[in-house]
Amino acid sequence: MKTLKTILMGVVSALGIVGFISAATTVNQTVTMQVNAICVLAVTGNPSTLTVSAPASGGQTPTNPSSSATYAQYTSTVPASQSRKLTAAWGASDAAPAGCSLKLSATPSGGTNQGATAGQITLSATAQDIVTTIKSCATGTSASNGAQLTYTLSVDTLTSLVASESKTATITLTLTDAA
Amino acid sequence: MRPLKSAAAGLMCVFILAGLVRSATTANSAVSVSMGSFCLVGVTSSSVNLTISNPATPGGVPNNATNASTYAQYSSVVASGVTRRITAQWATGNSAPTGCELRLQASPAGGVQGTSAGQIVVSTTAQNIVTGIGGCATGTGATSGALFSFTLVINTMTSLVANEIKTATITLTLTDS
Repeated sequence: MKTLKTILMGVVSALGIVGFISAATTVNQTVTMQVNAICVLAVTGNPSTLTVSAPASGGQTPTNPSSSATYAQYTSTVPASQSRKLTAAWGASDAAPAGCSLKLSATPSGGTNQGATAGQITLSATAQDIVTTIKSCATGTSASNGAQLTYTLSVDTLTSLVASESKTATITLTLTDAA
Repeated sequence: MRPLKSAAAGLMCVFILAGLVRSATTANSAVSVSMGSFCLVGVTSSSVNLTISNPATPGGVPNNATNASTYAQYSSVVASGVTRRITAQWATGNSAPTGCELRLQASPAGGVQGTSAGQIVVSTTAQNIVTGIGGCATGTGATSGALFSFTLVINTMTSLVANEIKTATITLTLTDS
């Protein structure tokens, strides 16, 4: 009789365990998803040499040389209600040839959140805006993606030009939070 | 003559013993064995992290964030002709970061451990991720079971919000098909 009771208790216990296991059919997993602040910038290359050369006709002022062959490409993520801007400056000792100034304008593609041009600036050692209101975007990385950079060497004072003068300047573009 | 007598006596003893033994070998016992149906599921890690970070090249869209490091491990005993499945869903109120969606694909070992139902976009509706699970035990090793591949997919780059963090609770259910 004692043996029978033991067997019955065992069966009851086994059924209890089966019931418990059967009920535990779900499990939870916590997934944390994050978007980092991203702010990266590159240019597709250096502009060609800007050379002031002979005008079409004698007596004319030489044409301002320009280059529009390069692009600023950027990827950005910003917090809500914030934006970024693209600025440009050259080094403290950089200068245009005598009688000239170097001008730059950036023309974003018009893609969503890729920003708006700030117009043409005259380069100096002070950072100036060339694109504003950049938000979360990726301009793309193809050869003509991004904000087109147009450099123009402007002849301001013809009488100050010095033949064969050559200057090389390093322009620093910065993608930064708007103030 | 003596060896013959001894042999005859020995043979008689064997028959007597055989008779005794035979008289105690017929006893019937009705044994009923029953296997209960059960299922149990667990995961190798209770947490997963997915982070969207810098693209390989400026101007490029960041890569989707992926995590394939956790496994669902399960034991299942089913009645004949019955299979089970694993479903996944997240709780009401959970969501992916703005501009993103969370996808999940399970890759079981196959056979009675079931087959993948492909990649799902996780939502508040339970969706199959493994089907055709029979009687099995996946094992409990670090890489045993159905591999979970989570992917945080960027759907709309321009909608991303820097520093946004979302935490979701995914409920996995092993249930009858």
